[in-house]
Amino acid sequence: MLVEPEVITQARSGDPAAFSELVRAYRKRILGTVFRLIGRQEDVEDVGQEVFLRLYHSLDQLRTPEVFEPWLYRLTVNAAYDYLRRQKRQAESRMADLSEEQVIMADAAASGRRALEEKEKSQIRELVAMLLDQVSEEDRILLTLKEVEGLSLKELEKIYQVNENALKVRLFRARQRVIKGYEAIQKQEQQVK
Amino acid sequence: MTPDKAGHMREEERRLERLWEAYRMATPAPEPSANFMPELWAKIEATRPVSWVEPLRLLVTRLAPILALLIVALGLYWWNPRSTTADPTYVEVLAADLIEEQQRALWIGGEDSI
Repeated sequence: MLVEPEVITQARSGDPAAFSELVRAYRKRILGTVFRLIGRQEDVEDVGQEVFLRLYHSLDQLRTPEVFEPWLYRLTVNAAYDYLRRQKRQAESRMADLSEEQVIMADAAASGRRALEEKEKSQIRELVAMLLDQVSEEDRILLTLKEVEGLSLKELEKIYQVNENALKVRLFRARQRVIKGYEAIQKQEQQVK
Repeated sequence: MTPDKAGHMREEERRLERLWEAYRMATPAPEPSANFMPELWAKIEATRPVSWVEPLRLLVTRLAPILALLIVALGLYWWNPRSTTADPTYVEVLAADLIEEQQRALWIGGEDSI
């Protein structure tokens, strides 16, 4: 854990200084997870704040400080899930935002190597976004937590509060779908070449 | 699954593993902005329950015993006879004497009539 259990206990009893300490300790980790889950840097801070806002309002329901991290991950997953569903509903405006994002990135990347690196990273993010679009929001989050965040099945079990076997089955199916999507994209690329 | 197909799947899985790794590198944890904490606290304040409810509740709970004491004291004050609570005035004494005299006169008169 990134903080002492006493800090969590104090924050749970309504101490604002303890809550601020908790946020400062975990915010970078949560922002990283949110970025990987939603794939859009410009909205990361907003979703991250939503996670901590939900934490503030639900902290009194936390049984013991030991289960704090899975609890925080669950809140992160739920906030990312809500964001992704909202984004799906606003699909048209999302397309407009994407082109805007590309323009900003092109402007921001000053020159030469940095620009090339940024372009490569941007292409990877776009490719993964395309692949993850092939699965539901639930599976997208599950796959990202397992494959990108590197969480173990035991940790996922605590977050989702479901049986490990059920998670394995779900992960297998989602992975197969993504592999098929990846194959299709590669075939398309070969045809273009 | 044929050995060829299984080998192909393994190759695809390895390729996907490499892609996840590249994605991890392409999505580093962003530094929180300077506004992160002030904005978060502003959002917390905005979602707190309506601000006048809590002071009103406190006021009622603190005033209730004082009000109860006041009601009891007023009740006792009004219940007790007025004369015991303050010295009678000159007019009151005069009136009381007058009534007493009239009663005595009536009683004497009554006795004469027997």
